[in-house]
Amino acid sequence: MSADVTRRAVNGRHSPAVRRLPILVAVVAALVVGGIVDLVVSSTTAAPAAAPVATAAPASAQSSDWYCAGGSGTGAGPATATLFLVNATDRPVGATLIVSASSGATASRTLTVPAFGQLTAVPSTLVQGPWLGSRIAVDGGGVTVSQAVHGPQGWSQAPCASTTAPTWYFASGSTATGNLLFVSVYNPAASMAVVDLTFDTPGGVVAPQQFQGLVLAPGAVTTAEVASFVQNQPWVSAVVQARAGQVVADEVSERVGTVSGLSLRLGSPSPEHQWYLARTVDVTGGRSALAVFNPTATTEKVQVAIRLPSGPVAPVEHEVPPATTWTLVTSGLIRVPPNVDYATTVTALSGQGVVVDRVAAAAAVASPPQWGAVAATPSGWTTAGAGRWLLANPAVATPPVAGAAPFALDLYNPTRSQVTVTVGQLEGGSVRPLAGVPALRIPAGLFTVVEAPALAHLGANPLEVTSTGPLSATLDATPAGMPGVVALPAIPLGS
Amino acid sequence: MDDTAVDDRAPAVVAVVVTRDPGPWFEEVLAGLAAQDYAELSVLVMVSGGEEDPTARVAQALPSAYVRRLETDRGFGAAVDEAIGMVEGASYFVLCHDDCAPDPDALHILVEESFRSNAGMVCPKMVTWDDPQVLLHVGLSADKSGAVVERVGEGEIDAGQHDAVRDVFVAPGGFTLIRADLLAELGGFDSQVVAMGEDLDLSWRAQVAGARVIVAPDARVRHLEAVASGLRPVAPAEGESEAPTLQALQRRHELRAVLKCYGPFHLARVLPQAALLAAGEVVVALAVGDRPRARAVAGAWRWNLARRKELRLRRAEVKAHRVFDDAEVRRLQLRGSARLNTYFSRLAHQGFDVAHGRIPTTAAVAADDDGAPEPLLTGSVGLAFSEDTVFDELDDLGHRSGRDRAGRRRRRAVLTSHRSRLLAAVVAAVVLVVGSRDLFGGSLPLVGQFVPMLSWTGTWHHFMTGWQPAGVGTTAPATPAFGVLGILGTVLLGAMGLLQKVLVLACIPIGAWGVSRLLRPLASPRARLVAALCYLGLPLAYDELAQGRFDGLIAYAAVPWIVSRLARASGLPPFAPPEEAIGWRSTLWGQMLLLGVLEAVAVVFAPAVAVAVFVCALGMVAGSLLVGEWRGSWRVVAVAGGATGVAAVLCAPWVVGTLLAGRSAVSVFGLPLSSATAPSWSDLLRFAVGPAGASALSWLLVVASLLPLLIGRHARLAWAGRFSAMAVCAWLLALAVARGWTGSFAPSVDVLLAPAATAVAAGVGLGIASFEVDLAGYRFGWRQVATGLALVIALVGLLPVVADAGGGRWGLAETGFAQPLSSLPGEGQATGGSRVLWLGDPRVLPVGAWSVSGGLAYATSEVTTPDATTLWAPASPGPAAGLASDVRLAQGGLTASLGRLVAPESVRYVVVLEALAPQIPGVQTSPSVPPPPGLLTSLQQQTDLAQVPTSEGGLVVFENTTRMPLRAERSQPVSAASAGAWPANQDVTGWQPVLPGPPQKRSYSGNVTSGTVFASYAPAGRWRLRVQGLTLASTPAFGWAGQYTKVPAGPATLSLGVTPLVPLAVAAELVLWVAVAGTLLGRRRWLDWWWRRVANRRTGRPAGDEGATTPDGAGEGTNEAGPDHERADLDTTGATP
Repeated sequence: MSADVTRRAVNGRHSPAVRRLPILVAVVAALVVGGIVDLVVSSTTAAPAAAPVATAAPASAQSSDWYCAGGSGTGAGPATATLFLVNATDRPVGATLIVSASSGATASRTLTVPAFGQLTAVPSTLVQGPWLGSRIAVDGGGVTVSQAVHGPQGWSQAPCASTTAPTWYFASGSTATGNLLFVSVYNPAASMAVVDLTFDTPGGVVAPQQFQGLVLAPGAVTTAEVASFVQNQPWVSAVVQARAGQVVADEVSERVGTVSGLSLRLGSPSPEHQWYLARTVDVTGGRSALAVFNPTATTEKVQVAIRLPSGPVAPVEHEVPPATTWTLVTSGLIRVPPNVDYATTVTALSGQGVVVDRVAAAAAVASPPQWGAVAATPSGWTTAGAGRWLLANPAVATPPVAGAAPFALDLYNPTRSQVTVTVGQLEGGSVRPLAGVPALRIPAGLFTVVEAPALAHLGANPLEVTSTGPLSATLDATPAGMPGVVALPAIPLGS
Repeated sequence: MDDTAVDDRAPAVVAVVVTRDPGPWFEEVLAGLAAQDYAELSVLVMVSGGEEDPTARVAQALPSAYVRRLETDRGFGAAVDEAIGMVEGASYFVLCHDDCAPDPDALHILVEESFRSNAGMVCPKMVTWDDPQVLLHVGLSADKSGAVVERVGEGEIDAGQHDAVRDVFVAPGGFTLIRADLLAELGGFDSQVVAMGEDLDLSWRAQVAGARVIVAPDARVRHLEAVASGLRPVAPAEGESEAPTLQALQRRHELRAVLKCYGPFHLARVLPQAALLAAGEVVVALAVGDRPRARAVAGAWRWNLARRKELRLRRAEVKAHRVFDDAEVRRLQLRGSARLNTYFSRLAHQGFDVAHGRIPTTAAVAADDDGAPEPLLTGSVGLAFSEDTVFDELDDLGHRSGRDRAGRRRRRAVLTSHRSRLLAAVVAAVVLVVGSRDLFGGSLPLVGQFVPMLSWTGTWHHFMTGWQPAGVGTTAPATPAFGVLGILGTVLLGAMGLLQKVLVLACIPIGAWGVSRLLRPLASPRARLVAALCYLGLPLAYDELAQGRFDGLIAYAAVPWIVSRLARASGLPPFAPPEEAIGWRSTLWGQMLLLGVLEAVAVVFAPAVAVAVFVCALGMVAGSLLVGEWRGSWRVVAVAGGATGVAAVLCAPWVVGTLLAGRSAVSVFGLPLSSATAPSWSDLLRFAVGPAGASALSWLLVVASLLPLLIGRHARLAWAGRFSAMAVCAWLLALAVARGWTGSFAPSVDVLLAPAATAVAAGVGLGIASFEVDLAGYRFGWRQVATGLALVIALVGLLPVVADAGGGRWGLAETGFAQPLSSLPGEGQATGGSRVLWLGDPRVLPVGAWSVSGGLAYATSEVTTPDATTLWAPASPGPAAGLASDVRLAQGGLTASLGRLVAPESVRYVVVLEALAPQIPGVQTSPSVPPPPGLLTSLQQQTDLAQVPTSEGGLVVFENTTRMPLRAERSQPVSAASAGAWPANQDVTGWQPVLPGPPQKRSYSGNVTSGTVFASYAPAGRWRLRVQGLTLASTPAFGWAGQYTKVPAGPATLSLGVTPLVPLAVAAELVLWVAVAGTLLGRRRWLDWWWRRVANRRTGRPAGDEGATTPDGAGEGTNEAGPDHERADLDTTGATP
């Protein structure tokens, strides 16, 4: 034993052979760095966004299904349905149309959607019934399905759903002054579904006993005639909640009187934080309004931003209590001049989001239908997929209504950067640019409208819109009393 | 009064010497008797059989003695009984063996003391024959079960420390003075007790009869112990061909004394305890291979039970002369079980081998070597002179005064005495037992990997057959875990449920034991105990238990031992074996083999342990570099690599099968987790990877483990650094895996945390060691404060586990998934069978799985309640990989017909697990472990999957409406276009079940109708269909399955064709395991001999100089026995060797 070593031990100095500081520093540094890295990574991990309720599966998909409800299946029904299948791929795609009637009857037919083409199918030719639910099982992807309904009060268009969901929300609707409201629920899944329907009205939440615990067997469809149970309410927001299973829900509104019309709307499976309306115009004598429904349990602060061609106007803000609907009559806003197009962005600034519809009514002297309601486009639709959207063309050989044709294509860039948009038509197995419509550069926050003359070149072909960035696209169709009465949002193509 | 009337003569004493063929020592015995200074002594020599007549020898040494020869040898007691009848007028008898030589005043003193103390029996101090300075007996003690215990230590030197007259329970035979009237009342000795234990019996009965039994140490007798030492063999009893061992005699006579001497009440209390102890002793003895002991204990009960009638008579005799009740008699008995105390004491102080009698005790070795045993020094700042402060607290008179020799109140150090440490260990064991109490009964719930075991024959069959039903079937060899389970199940006579519980519950104490062993060369027993308690106090093990993670438990048990082996492999101080202990096990190859075997056993159950081995090795190297002491580091890596190679060789068939899986081979280590549900950095640091450990207090142990880095010195600092680096490496890799940064290489996080837990526990232990040794070298300052704080928080850090013990299940659910799943309609044996597709987080699936994506795994089983058949998945899913693709399609919204896609795999149910266990409202809650977001929604959106209502939460079940049976037939074959493509509707419809039978079999028979038979098994080429004596060849269906076209109608058999390659390889593997086990556990001295020769040849030493080996031939034995000595060197020199 060395005396020096002993002395060092006594004096409390450790042997120089074993170093203390490096290991201390290394351990502490590793622990701290690990914590920081984990914190950073955790904070940047975002939950994947849910796919829009109507999205075409990519062309590489093994199969994809579309579900359409809300159509009536008899000639005298309020909303006879016509389906539009648009194929954005370069090969014909097989599909099976399975139609279920609310009476229980079911029939199916195989279809082939031509490459880069459109196919029209009328479910009521397969099976008759008061209300129909249609499932289109596509042998692949790249196909969108939308639906047009027509009846005594007018006609309307809406996308079909590419997915089922346990909950569906509808922001607008009315049972006042003889207006009719139908909520159609379709269960295309293999599991039984049990559904409750509730309605938010100015008088409060109404849950009719008849619409509680509706049992839908696999493939069954049922439609609730709301006006008989939720009577004389100027605004009715509907909630379809499946206790078990998953369903698809569409709402059909029938407006009667001097200003009449029909609207078909696909519900929203969840509240969203941002909604767009590419183009609204308040014509003289007409009226437009936004229905902002807060189905959540928390108060939502909502901001409505309106963009005129000349620039933005001061936004409107309002707090929407839980389970209530805020109606903003945009045509009544002094800051919005009449007969001027504008784009609208509705933003939920707090809480869990809202559901937004727009109701448009032309002057009573306008050609019918004068009234219509459309669901606003949720932000997810503008960003989903591969920057491609499809729009069915109602001007087919046997249109749902006489004279049905595209009227205007509304393109809104809600982002803060410019996007370049090309409009093409699917014709003869290929895609070609729409004549007279060059590549459009839409500055940030602005919108543009492709008017009817340019769309006249379209003929009966469906439209394809491509964009270098997020885009909200809507096709206005005639016959209608004014733009916005019959409108179909573009359906995104998945990547 | 006439003084002359008083009889002043001494009481007459008759010395009864019983002899048989006495040895040369007999003259000394007779001389000793002849030399007695007691006048009234008569000597009666009883010659009990034998061939030699010693009369002449007696006459020569003791002419006045009487000699009586008995024809047969009936034992010492019988001879004495014979002598009693021959003598009249004696006041005392001295019962003498013929190998006891008394000092001249011995008898005198004994008689005096008998009068003075009014004792019925008086015994002298017994010393060894050759060295009267060494004590043999100063009276004997006994516990309630009759176990006789020495009052002196083995080889204890007589320095007068026992020279006080006192009561004893047993007067040891050899030279015992007993009042003649007492002996007559007792009826002499028990004739059935031929040798060993007669003294216990007589002393006990004497006390029952109201007599005192005392020792008079002033009287000294040398005792040769000819019988006990084996100089004089015990003769076989009548009718027996073989003489019983001394141990057997001792045990049977001890039990006989118990059965005779207790009253009914105490007998009813004591006997069950004795039986329990005996059963435990037999189990332990069998476990360690001590068969003579097991036979002796079991034989004692058998022998006594065979004499029930005779015992009843003896009990009546004892009752007849009873004066004292048992409570009075038992005051002199030792408390508790003397034998159990001795066992644990030896286990704690002298090691496993000594405790189990494999090698002699330290004292015995010292005595054999004719040298004094080395003292075991701790160098404790607790001022302990020895390891046991109880000894230090004794004053000069042997009393515990609580004050030191200067009269100051002694500060009692915690856990420095054997007794206190034993108490702490017992408390920890009680906490474990209490915390696990609900797991002892019934079967374990189906949670995680706690699946029902196969029967032992089924386990063997599964291991030996070269086909597994996992996925859609594979010919990859099964994991050797089935072999290990088969062996253990066979040993347990097929009690597989018991085996499962033993494996699960034993892991926890084994791991703690391993931590204690790891620190053995580094720290005092107290520090080792605290480290082990700390290991038990970490929530890791209980999290694994609650989650049903078998792999995590195995890693928890194995990693401390692995780290211990790596430390020894490093050769770094103080783990370097002493020169004299170096054997083949100390060589690089020996270390590799030892660690390799350990690694192999762990890896077969938890493959990620192989990764943990390298984490430990690399952590040690990194730590060595950081502390500046990297010499020997390369050995750690080399041994880790070599050991992994050894493990690979031991598991060769399975390893080869795994490697053939290519890139997916890494999946055996574990599956990627979802970063959303994976444990965070803080969770990993405090081992909160399950329901346990949620308390913030679980941080405290981790913090306390940093203490040695602050105050440690020398080897303690160096090893604390290595352990810390090891922990950091493990934590970082676990974090990388949890966050998905390692891709498909995702070793189980639970396994990776085991090295970190070991390091934390070792750090706390080293902190205690530093407190004991290093802290005294510092001036008073923050270090003392930090030390105090660390000790307190370490103690508080144990509280969460103690609190968790109250639940009785460690958080393991009471109801597993078996209950909700058993309510699903099964296929039954009359149908063609089907599969279940399991989806969920890899941590909750009860079947061996493969990865779909991070946090989502999939697996199949042919039954709704899976068993061990599919517990370990082969590395490659084979054709079942298509299921993952199908699920990805559904997740991505690329199909709405998942049911159709998985129909060829015969998936009837899709079960998605969302929690560790079923969630039953109001009854049972279980932590949620959700699958990736969107999975359930996408499954619910499939138009051919119908959700099945379940009353319990935590799982979602879908039924496939377009399923195909496993074995099906229809008229049309599957179209050729289906190969490699998604199955079309027409390919999966129209099939009818055929060839019924139970699931997971390899042969099915039944009638088929003409057409096509489909078999959803892979590899299709190995399955053969025989119809009407014809063997049909299969054609591909769906690219991987088999279909048999143009099948004629009639009875058919579908069976798996077995090639002998895999069974042969597995058999060779078994042989290899047996050979290695034999080498390690059996005779291995030849290896040392061989290694010494090789070493000598290298060093040029003479060929015959093989050097000394340890008694068991193991280098580690000596190394482990003397670590404290080495540590003392380090402490006193302050040098780092």
